[in-house]
Amino acid sequence: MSEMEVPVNKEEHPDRENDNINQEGEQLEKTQEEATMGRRRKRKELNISEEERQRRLRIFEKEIEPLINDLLRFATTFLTQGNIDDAYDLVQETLLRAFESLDTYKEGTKIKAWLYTIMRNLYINEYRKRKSAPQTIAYEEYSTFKSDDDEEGPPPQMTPAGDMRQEVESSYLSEEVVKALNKLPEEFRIIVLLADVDELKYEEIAKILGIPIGTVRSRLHRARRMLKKELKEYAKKLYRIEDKSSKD
Amino acid sequence: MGFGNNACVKFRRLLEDALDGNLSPEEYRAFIKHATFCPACHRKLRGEIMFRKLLQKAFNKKQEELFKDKAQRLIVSIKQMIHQQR
Repeated sequence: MSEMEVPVNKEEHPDRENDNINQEGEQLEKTQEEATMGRRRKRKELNISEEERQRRLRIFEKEIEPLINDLLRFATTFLTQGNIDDAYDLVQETLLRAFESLDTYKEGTKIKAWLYTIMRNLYINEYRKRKSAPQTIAYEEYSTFKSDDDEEGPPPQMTPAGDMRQEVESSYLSEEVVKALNKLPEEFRIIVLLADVDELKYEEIAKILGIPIGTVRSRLHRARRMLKKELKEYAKKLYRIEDKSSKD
Repeated sequence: MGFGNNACVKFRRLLEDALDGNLSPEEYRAFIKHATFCPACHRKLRGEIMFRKLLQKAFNKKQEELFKDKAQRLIVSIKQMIHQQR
């Protein structure tokens, strides 16, 4: 990853400022869907050989296409405050920039963190200015957290960690998790998302968010504690389902 | 390497790092060994693994619902735009 450049600077795209102005007028004539796509810019021609274009398309199909759901989730959850159309727009621009910069990509290296970094920088440099500040909950509200370590849980089952794969089918429970996660302050929510859902390493998360690894570690720890507190009742329901399943 | 005195305290301190892949192989072996013999710590480990699986499951489910058609539309759209860049 370290050798891959992240295309974020406006200097690389000097036509953007003018395009932002021009698109305002153009959008009035567009349908709702087209307006959502209206941030699409007239792009420079990409001066690459047909062979290189085909190589990039192969990488795009093999490495990037399977990640589009993840990119949409990252954008929706963290960047666009739940607005899927904005997320779509942001992901689209991210993918185009990635395609333009794929000459720096070495096949086989981890591409997800690179794409997330492009998207986050794009959001900060261009999209965030258009949006109001996100609604977050103050961390102080969670400061009274008490660890559940000493509470009595169900009796332990002595099975290896690798066998602890209990599927839970209730969509209601899944919704509970998403709601709890959405209650976290933004800077905590994103850490959990990147670490526990995307399973990125601390180092990769630090690069994406532009923060030290130590900060990743401490925020992640706090975020998980907050979530566990939120999901305390949920966890009890889960244990009941799990126990029932194991008896069946 | 074993955990020695205060083994449960050490185990819990290392719990997140262990599951996040931040321990050396030697540390990890000692960590798992302790979990095998200590029911309380095993329960703690089990809870942590469940917690992470739930997050993943919740989000995978959520994104399937939310992005059902968007991702495919996005792929078609991007390929058209790439084609236009020639």
